[in-house]
Amino acid sequence: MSIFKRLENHYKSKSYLTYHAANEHEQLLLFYPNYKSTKIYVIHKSDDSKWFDLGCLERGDDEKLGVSFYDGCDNNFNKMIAKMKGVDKAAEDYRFTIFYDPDTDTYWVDNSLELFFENQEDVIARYLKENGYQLISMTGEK
Amino acid sequence: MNNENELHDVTFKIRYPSKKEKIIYAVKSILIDELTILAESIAIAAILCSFFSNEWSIPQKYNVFIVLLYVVFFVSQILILLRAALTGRYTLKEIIIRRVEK
Repeated sequence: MSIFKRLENHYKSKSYLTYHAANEHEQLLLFYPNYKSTKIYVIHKSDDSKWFDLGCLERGDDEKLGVSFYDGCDNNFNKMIAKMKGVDKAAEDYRFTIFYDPDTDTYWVDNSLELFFENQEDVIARYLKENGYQLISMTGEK
Repeated sequence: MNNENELHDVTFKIRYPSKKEKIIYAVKSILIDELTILAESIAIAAILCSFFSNEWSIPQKYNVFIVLLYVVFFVSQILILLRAALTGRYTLKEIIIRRVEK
């Protein structure tokens, strides 16, 4: 069984909704818990690499959807599951990290990033469409 | 390796350093801190030594200087360990902030 299928089954068993998508060179697994407002987690792999990138979907103040990766992992199922918990925290830590701009001597927080989504299904569909991914499978029920 | 993803798709942002980058950052930061502590310890020990009686011989002063140096350096090590534990120095967050500052 492929690792993406194992991940899908794992998160499905935890009552997450999962979306497995791909384009010519990459695969994505997007998933979120069955709540009203949640982060949308992403696991990404390029076909030419054994590395998996672990991150979250986000929306900037320009309304553009993007994915930020906060950790990575080799082809190890248990390690990946454990690291996703760290990603969950890292995404919020980054969101509230205070940055310093030495040129203007000011501190700032990147509060334009939106991490929580209510209409997750539409957001995922929009992201996949805008970036040329085809949905391979989806699991879980609303 | 991972940053190549940015070339495939502009919507990907890599917000974590590679293992190599983490190690280089930690080693470099620790070395800088340790050298700073050593220089400060030498200066403090020398200043304290200068307050002692002039009747002491040079070997006596040297021995006291070495003891003071060890004590100040040891205390500084404890303080920097506490600082690292409490402020998360040498961690991922520090690296992210450093990246943004650049």
